[in-house]
Amino acid sequence: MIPQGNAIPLQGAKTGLDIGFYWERYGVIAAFLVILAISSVLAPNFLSVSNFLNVLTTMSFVLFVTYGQTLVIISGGMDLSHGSLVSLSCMASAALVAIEHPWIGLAAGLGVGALCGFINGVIIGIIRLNAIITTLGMLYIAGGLSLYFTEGRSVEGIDPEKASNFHFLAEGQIFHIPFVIILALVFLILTHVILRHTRFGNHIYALGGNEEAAEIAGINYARMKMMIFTLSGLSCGVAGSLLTARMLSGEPRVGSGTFLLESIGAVVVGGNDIFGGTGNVGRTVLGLMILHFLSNALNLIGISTFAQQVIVGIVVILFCYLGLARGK
Amino acid sequence: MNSDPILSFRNIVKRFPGVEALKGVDLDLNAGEVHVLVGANGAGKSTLVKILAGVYHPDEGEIYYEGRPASIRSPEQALESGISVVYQNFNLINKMNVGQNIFLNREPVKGRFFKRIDWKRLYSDAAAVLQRLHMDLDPKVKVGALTVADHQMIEIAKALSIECRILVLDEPTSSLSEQETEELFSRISKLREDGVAILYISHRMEEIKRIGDRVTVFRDGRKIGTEDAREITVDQIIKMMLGREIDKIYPWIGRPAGEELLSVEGLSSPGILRDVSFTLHRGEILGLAGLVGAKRTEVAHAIFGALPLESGRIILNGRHLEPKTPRDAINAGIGLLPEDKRKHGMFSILSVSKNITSAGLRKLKTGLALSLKREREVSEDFVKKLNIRAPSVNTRMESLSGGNQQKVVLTKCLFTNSEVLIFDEPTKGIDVGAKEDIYRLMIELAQEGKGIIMISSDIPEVLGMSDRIMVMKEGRITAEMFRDEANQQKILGAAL
Amino acid sequence: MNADNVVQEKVSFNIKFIERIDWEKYGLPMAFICMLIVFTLINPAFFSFRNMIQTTRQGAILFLVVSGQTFALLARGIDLSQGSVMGLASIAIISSIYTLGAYAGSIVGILMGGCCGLINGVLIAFLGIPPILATLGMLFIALGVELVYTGGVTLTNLSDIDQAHLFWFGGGMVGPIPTPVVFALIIGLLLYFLLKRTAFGREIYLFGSNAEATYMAGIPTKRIIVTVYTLSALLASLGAFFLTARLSMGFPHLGEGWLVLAIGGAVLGGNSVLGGKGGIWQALLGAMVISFLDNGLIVSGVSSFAREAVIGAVIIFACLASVIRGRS
Repeated sequence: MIPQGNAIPLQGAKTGLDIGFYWERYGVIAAFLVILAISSVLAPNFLSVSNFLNVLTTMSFVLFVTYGQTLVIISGGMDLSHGSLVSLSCMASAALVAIEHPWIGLAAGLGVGALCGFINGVIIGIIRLNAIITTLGMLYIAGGLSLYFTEGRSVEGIDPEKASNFHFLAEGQIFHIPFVIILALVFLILTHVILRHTRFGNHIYALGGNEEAAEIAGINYARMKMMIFTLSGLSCGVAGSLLTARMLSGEPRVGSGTFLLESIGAVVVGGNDIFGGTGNVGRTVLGLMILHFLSNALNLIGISTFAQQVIVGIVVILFCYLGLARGK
Repeated sequence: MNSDPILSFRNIVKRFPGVEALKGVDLDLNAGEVHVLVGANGAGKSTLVKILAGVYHPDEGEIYYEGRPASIRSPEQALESGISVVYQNFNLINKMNVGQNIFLNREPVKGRFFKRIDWKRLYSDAAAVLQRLHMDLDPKVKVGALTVADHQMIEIAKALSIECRILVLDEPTSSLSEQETEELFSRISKLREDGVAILYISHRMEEIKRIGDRVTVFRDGRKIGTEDAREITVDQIIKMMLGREIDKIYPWIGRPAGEELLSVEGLSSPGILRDVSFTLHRGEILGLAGLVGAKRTEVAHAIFGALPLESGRIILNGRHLEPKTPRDAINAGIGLLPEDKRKHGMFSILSVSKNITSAGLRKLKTGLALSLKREREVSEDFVKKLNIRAPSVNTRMESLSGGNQQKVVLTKCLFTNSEVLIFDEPTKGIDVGAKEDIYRLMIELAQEGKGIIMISSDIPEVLGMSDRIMVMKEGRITAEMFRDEANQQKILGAAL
Repeated sequence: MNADNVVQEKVSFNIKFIERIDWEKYGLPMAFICMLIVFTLINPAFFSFRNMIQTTRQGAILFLVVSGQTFALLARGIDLSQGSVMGLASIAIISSIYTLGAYAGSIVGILMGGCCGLINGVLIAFLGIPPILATLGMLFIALGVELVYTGGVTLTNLSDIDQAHLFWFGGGMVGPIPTPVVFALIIGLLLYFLLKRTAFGREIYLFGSNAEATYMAGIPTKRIIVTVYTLSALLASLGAFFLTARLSMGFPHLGEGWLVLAIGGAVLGGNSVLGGKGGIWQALLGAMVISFLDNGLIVSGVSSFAREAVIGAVIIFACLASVIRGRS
């Protein structure tokens, strides 16, 4: 339940409907290509394979959480706990990799993410507390917990040799393609299949489209929300564990940067309806690509990270506006 | 045919905070019958339906399904037991397409190890269902793009696509055309032959007689009686519903014609309205008839400043008016009772008094502040005058029944002292008692010199209440007639 | 009426007493008092006059910010930019003081913070962007602007005179009461009057309850949106002013952490996320509970990391409780 505050004119005058139709279908792709084109002109090293691979690699770590966020947003909710859950699973996996075994650490990272997501789901699904409040609270709780156990310090002590296989997940390559990218692709296909080809996925769209109607049709609201948020938390767990794999340490503030903005921004910029009911994960990927390649180009041009944030923020708003204009 | 009822309610009690909706109700449903359920709004019909559908659970009482005690714990379980419900408020998902809506939560799957949705079969099955209802609809069209009548048919298709033993239809014809209603009735007959038990809820007396086998009347949460539908008369039914007789349904009386109040010329908006012109006099009730989709509401919105016009003139009391927003219209003395009161007319979580004064806050101002005392007094006056049943003026709107809510929304126009009153479907979905009150009020307002435009899809109502009648079709005015020269055929003829 | 009836009535009266209490109205204040008692038991110093007064100093600032958020919530919106706006206000205040002196500079700085809200309001009202997105975008844009402007450096170096003038507002006292508390009370009363007793306040409730019906009732809705978000930012800036006044420092991260407290406090106190329900009293209640909770935790010796988690948990549980109560 996302608050709305617009003054809505009653009769949607059918101006620009044609433009709206084409924008809805192809607009995002067009925008992406335009950004690529402009970037390649303005930035010196933009159009190189190594640069692209770099961007895609960084992007892949974030992609996982966007998959989860896509599921949540299409179902009509929003998950604000994404940044903190990534931090928490990073810490948890690092701790268990150091103490026990890498694969146990992986399980821990995934488990922590899924568990927190599950808790979100229970509160939202059974007690029916607003998703924003709940995930906001979880953001705070998980963030606090990440810092609490080590009093803000990172988790060290991972033996690089013992964890070499684990490390490969994040830094390894297959045929010169970074493994993370492949992993992200696999999860992309998985998410797409879930959304478009399973009953569960269809019901996610139903919930986002009209919650009441979905329930009256017999769809179990509580079960759906629990599963959706557990998956969302799990997606953070994947991201967090992979970050541990990359850094071979646990950073308590690793998720407190732009994870949340990118996670939501990607979904929205890609053209998914923020109120849910329509959209697909492909759009989200496109959205994230726009954000990352834009950032990358700005970086290469030499604009400071501070100014980048401003520009990215403006871009997100711009896309929202365009997306809404289409809807009218 | 088995003489034992397929479903029985015994002594069902259901309480909500502050009100006892069902006070110990019995009902029997036989297989292969159309059992009509009537009652005023708030009588408990919808509550019983929701209990049958598994949405509510009774606080007391028993349910027997095929002679055995049963409990319906959830909508899922109800569906599995063969109970299919078509609600009054549609439960369709606009962003999904027709096929997806019809088979929601019953999507066909294929594959042994991994269950995937069989989209092909879903769409072909959906097409088949629509065919059986003689509906020419592409199952891949998004529901949001369709008309209200289509929505209603899709809801019915949804219910019919399930192999059900019990079918519940709650006001299924409220948005349907004559033709579609016929279609529905023929399907219902067929189902009856097949042995399905049909619980049919309706306000329309003609339908009860036409389609019903037995009729049960509820009043104030109790069952008043169950009779043979073919033998009982309409008057008897109404008497059971209200507990008293009503003399005439429409309290129309003759009034002297007044001077011209509102004159509308050449209203046009591309694709919506075409050259709409008419006049309204003081003390006149102008009925505006037509089918759903004739764009009558759009005319109302245009006069009210809620629809942009390409051309046309509006003259009120001799003065030229160009309302760009509802505010302009209200300030000029035009009031609107919207068709969709939930969306455009009502503030559900706020109190009755706050609703009444919402369009005329200016009138409550003393200096910088609002006079809460005056608000209360004014509201209490109106509540008394219109016979609004509410515990107090501070009661939240959502606690009121539909008819009382409508009265409150009506009062909004009265508070702003509008001279021109546009009532868009003022009695749709409202119980007989409240209807009476609203009709009486309309006559009173007309006698006070106000001009009333009444938009209604209920032809008897149009014929019964109007001084003059206009018919619209597809955004144009197709006929105008005086009361004494009007009849059902003429109106329908101009509307189709 | 015979003896049996009388006895029966008496018994049921006792049982129903628990149900008779209007939990929705008295639940939170009662919980608040319990909390105070518990903290005093843990550490008697909690209940000292000095500690109480100090806590109200922070509480007053939180109250202002929560009040701002309340306006947004009442209009069925949300203001995610409050934290960044606070930082921006602090920077604007200090910068303006350099050139304009303490008093004029403060006013200019606060107004500049309010401008962010004005922009929010315009984006939402005229471009139709959902509040959550518009204010989220503003969050990042404001932050970016602040970082670019200051280059990450904290602004200090006020002249001694200016510092002295300024300090009274944030760190001074009016008799036994901290200055911010006095201002907050006066402003609170004015806002209460605005919401409950003026047409404009009533319009906000109407709009939050049903935006379209408000339009149909002839009320100019765009005006409501713009004013509400401007107020939200102004109040946040005012809160930032008192913080800045005491520290005589302006920096971008001043508002960090306040956003969650603002939303949490507003909802905790009883404002509905869906609009139309709540008010300044609820804002006060929520702000007080959170401030005393935070202070209580500090005095009880809980580490700062755990505190974050605890406050998040409390916000969730309290909202949960209010939702459950509202259901039964």
